[in-house]
Amino acid sequence: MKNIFYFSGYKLMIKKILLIIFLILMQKFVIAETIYVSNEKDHNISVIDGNSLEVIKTIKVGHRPRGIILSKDKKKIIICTSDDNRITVVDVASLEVEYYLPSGPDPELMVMDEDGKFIYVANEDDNMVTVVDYHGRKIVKEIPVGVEPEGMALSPDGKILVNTSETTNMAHFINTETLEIEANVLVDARPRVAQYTKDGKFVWVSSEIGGTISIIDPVKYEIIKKIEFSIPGLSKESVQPVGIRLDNKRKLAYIALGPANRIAIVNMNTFEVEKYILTGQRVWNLMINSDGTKLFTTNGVSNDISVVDIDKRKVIKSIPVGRYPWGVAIKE
Amino acid sequence: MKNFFFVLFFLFCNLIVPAKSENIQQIKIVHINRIIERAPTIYSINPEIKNNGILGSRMGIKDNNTTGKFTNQKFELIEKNIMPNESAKAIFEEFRKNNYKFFILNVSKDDFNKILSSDLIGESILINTSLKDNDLRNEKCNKQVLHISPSYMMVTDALTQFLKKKNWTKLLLISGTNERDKQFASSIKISAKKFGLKIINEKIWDFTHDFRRTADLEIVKFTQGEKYEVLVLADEGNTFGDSGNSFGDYIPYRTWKPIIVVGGEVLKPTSWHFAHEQWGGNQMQSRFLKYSKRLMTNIDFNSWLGVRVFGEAITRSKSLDPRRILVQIMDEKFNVAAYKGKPVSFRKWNGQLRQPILLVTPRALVSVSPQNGFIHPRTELDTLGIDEPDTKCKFN
Repeated sequence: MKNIFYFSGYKLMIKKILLIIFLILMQKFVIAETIYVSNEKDHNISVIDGNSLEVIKTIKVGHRPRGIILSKDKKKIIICTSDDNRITVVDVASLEVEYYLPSGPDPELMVMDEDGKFIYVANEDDNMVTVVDYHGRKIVKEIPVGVEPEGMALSPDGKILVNTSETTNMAHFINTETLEIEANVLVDARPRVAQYTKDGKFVWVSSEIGGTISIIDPVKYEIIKKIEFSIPGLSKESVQPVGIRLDNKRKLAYIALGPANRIAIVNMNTFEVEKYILTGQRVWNLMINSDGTKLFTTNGVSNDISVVDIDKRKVIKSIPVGRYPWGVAIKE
Repeated sequence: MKNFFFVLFFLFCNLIVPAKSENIQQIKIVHINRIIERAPTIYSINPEIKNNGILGSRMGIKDNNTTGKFTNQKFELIEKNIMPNESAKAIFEEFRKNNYKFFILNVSKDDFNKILSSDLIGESILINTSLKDNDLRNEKCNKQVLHISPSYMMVTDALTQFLKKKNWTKLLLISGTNERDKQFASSIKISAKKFGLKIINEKIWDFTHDFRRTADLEIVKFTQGEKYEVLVLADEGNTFGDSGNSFGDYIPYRTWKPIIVVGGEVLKPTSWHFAHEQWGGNQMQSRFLKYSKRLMTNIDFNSWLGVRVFGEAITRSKSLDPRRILVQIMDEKFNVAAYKGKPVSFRKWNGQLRQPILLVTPRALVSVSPQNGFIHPRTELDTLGIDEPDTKCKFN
């Protein structure tokens, strides 16, 4: 009898331990983030585990994947597969390509509205911004813009879409109701990325060849400030701002400086550069993780991702991915 | 009666149309293109490139007009071919009499000199897309001329930097006999001195017969007994442009020693090549291919960039006054995106566009100069070509 009691007690204990382990695992699983990186030359995306910071899977998605975002319900990864002239949708749970969306020719960057209904796509070769009905899986409208459209940003209220055109050197302000251009602001050469501040009062636009960040007042359509960068020992030409992420909590902006192989931390109140952080080579796009502790950068020449500890202001890890890593998206 | 209504209708139409285009600024750019009688080329399979340069200008106009839609500007290209028996100067002066101000020139050196001698230049701006002559950037410079085409000194500096980087420093120079070959040869001698390379010997290629059948024998003897690491060809081709070489293709693989050959079309320093894909280059290549139905040549690229420089300067200065436009172009902050990874801009001391130079084989890109490690207090791009202290150009 004693033996049996002992045995069932032992069994219970194992059950309890298993439950605790399961709960710990679950908790970890819930907190764990996943990072998705598009590899332009390898035609795939790398899936990185947010805890171990290692690549756990590579998914073939189509030719020349660049812009990458998550759907608003966080259930799908949406990728511009530029050379296939369409958008590829990957399921987050199965990590498999699920279906394709039409995008117009050569889609590069895109933005989704807050309701998750429309995707606005920049068609680089076609001088168009295409509006795609995400659920209806069809093109709603094509808006003619400047030559080589690229950067895409939506105002917090969703009423204005900003698109930059690389060769026309403009930021176009598009009314999302009428889908007409309301104003154009001339910026420095080769504008790449646009970002609205959280309060919707300013738009930050990077000019890769001009080497500057223009801060635009979206009501007056005027540039109120231009940020320049100067890094000791580096020529002015090698400082080529591309990616912009605004950290509204800390009031800091992170700017990727391309072949300068650095990101700049800019104070959003004073517009002063507070620090340059060395990353991998040709750093282009950036993403802040969900709790705001880490910044992930895509480094196109060194074929890796730099993980920056935002508080310590330094790179804590480099993660090798595919060739020409281009865009990055993060799921909580 | 019917006719009367028709006339009324016609008058009415005339009334509406001008009212609509009232505040649109019209800008006319003239592309002058010298047609040459085609010299016999080495291989008959090399097709003649049709509309070389003009297709680049056309795309530049298209790009300018996409921007113009938002700035109320309309650009128009006037294309003019100069036939073999026609005078470039007379044609240029005809345009000037009709007050055309902006010119893209793809002409011969002789044409260019004659155009520069015209009394009707006035305030017009001339963009050179094809001539590499150093003297046009030195003694014969003109403040109204901008050179998008790199100079001989820029391309030989680009090639020599690459050789220096590889540590291939002992050169044998084989030079052709035409004026352009000689300029390339004299430039590479200056470049070699500048970057610490040694030209062991120089040989002149003055054979006139067709080498198709005898190259195997002759070139072995021609290169025998020389102590060198790299064979450099000064072979700038048969025409005034960059369309093909005259002897360079016979040299590789037929030398006495197993040796690297550069220059000519073998490894050519140039402003553009269709295999160039970096820094958005593939966007440019695919846009051009789609629009023009052929690959983009360096003259197409130079012409495209020339039209874009006019467009950018006019958009930014908001002016059609050539004096203001020229000030805008020569401004230190004026730079243009040219798909070459670095902003390109004009040197104020001679009107030359500073730009990276591609080193290419007929089908592939090998390297881009300036090479890493060649530094300059102003910009690394100024390690290529005639620098400010060395200039013999005096604008008056």
